[in-house]
Amino acid sequence: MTHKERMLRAARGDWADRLPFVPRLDLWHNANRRRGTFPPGYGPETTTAEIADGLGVGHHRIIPEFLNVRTPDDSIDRGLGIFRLRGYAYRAELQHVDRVVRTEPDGATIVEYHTPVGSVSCKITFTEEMRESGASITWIDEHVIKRPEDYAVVGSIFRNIEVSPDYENYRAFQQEVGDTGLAVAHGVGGASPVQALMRDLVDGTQFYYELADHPKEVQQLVEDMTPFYEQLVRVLAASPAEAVMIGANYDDTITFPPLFEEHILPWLQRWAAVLHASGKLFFTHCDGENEGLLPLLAASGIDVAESVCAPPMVQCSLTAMRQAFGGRITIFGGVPSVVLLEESMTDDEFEAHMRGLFTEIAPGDRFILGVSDMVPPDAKWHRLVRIAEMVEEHGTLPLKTR
Amino acid sequence: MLDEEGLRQAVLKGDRDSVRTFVTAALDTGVDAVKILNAGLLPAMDVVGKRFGAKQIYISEVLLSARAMHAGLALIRPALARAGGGADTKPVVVLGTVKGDLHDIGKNLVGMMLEAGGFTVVDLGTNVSAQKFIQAVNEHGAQVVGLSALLTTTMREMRQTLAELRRSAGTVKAVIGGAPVTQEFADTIGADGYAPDAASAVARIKELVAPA
Ligand code: B1M
Repeated sequence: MTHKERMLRAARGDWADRLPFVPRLDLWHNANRRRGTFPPGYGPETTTAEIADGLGVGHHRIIPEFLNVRTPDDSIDRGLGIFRLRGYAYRAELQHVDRVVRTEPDGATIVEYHTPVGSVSCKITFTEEMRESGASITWIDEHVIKRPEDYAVVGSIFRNIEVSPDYENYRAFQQEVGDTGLAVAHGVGGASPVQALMRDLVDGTQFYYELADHPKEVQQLVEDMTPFYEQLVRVLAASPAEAVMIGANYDDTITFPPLFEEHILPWLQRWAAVLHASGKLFFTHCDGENEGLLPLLAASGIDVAESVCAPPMVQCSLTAMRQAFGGRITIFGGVPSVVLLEESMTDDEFEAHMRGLFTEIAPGDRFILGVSDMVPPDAKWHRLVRIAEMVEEHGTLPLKTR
Repeated sequence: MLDEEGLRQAVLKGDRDSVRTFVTAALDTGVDAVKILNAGLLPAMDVVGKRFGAKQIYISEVLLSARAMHAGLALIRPALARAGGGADTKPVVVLGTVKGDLHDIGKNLVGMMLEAGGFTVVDLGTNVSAQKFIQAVNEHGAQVVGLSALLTTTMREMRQTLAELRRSAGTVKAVIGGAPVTQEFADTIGADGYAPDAASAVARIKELVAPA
């Protein structure tokens, strides 16, 4: 079976021959290429595909490379949560907006949006420190919504966005990935308008005040953004992709259960219905603390909870998650990134952790093994190799419950 | 007259307007600002911290309560300053997320709970270099510096920052926290304190500044 077939089978709840192992390597790759610290045998031009191939694991092509832009246009609307990256199956174009872009002396980008109903602006940064810390996406330093008046402007921008298919772009990506992994068609990070508000449009802490202080504006924004979301999901549903990713960074503190239930869950359910009607698999990025969200995620209609972290990085155990999901949702992840770090545990502790993990997830149905959120830049290479070996040795499905 | 229970409830509900009404009424009738603080605002935030720690309330409620408490604090601040024992003599905590790290929601929460716990907080924001921490500690005469990090990569920056603080910022106590940080790590890098959440950060920092 190819890596792609294994992933698809696991995502659909069918048995693959072997546990798929698909670690996200892009940040590790970027950092080690820059430092010239690839493992022996890998030259400076080695790609993530070659590393994955060398390890004998699936190539993680689930999350777009947000920094890998073809032209500035690919990420210029990052402040709105909108990208036009290589591999995207859609293009979102702003209409009736005059966009003015300038670069500050410190390298930050200011993007102003002038619309018939007013103007808003945002400030985007990406610093050397961020690069070194392994960030894979630029940072919004100033958000488009800073005052109550800004809601209407942002609402008008979203009402006028036209989403069109860009299937050729996606097909090229799909072909490039081939059987080495699953080329997931990416949507947007906010699963719903309110989550987009929280992630992209206002400051993450200010968001909670906004909900309390400006409920009418928030409600109007939700209505204004809905057509954009509907177009987007329609285009993704009709795309050549087998799997679609929408929504990211849930966490039971920041997207706490009542908030999730009111502002995220109904939208996930809606997207699940549209995507399933077209035979698509629905992925969402669950990299935070999921403990308090389990029943809600279980009811969301998603097929794959991607980037699932495990103790000691979070409280929620894989056992609790598997129980809550009741065989209906595939867990993608499970290896907490810290176990790959020399300073976190000894090699013996690492081996014991991994053996425990294999036992915990047995018989291994609905599981794609991955590193959550990603393989860290200083991961001990040998440990990655060891996980790949363990999968090879003990990963035949169903896993033995021992 | 101070409606202590009314004021506490208003803080618990995050109701800024009611907090202002209760505090103004109390000040107008000659109630001592220190009493308003100690009998109304601080105990209410203490309850908020405990409820949050026990997962009985959510982050939005904490933030709204903290904001309501601040609205009350703003009204009594002049009187506290006049009384000489209040705002100006509160212990100072310099707080920030270390260099390379931009996560700030947890750090903000810690800051609000510290303010609510009676500290003056100098929040340096995110991506803060050791140099900036040192400068702020010296400038504000801080007793405690609080470092937050959410990334494994930036936890290392904590070690570095702490080493530089030790060299250049005298006897300031350092408390660290953030999802990947542990007591063990705090011990390894020689931090004076570690706290797994905002409420325990306040408790730990109170212990550190308490006279021995
Ligand atoms: C001074 O004393 C103290 C004492 C206690 C202290 C303290 C200081 N500071 C905190 N505490 C403590 O008290 C607080 C309240 O009780 C608590 O604070 P927390 O901050 O822990 O809790 C908050 C209240 C709620 N929790 C959060 O706010 C973090 C939630 C998760 C999902 C998260 C989020 C939301 C985000 N992220 Co980030 N993010 C994750 C997080 C998952 C997780 N498991 O933590 C984590 C932290 N992120 C991660 C990553 C990798 C990244 N993130 C990034 C970006 C982002 C978002 C922008 C999407 C967003 C941040 C929004 C913001 N304004 O802060 C990037 C980094 C950018 C940068 N340079 O900083 C990026 C590198 C991703 C990328 N591909 O670029 C992971 C770090 C892995 C690791 N160990 O290194 C991560 C654990 C996710 C995962 N599952 O792997 C305690 O820790």
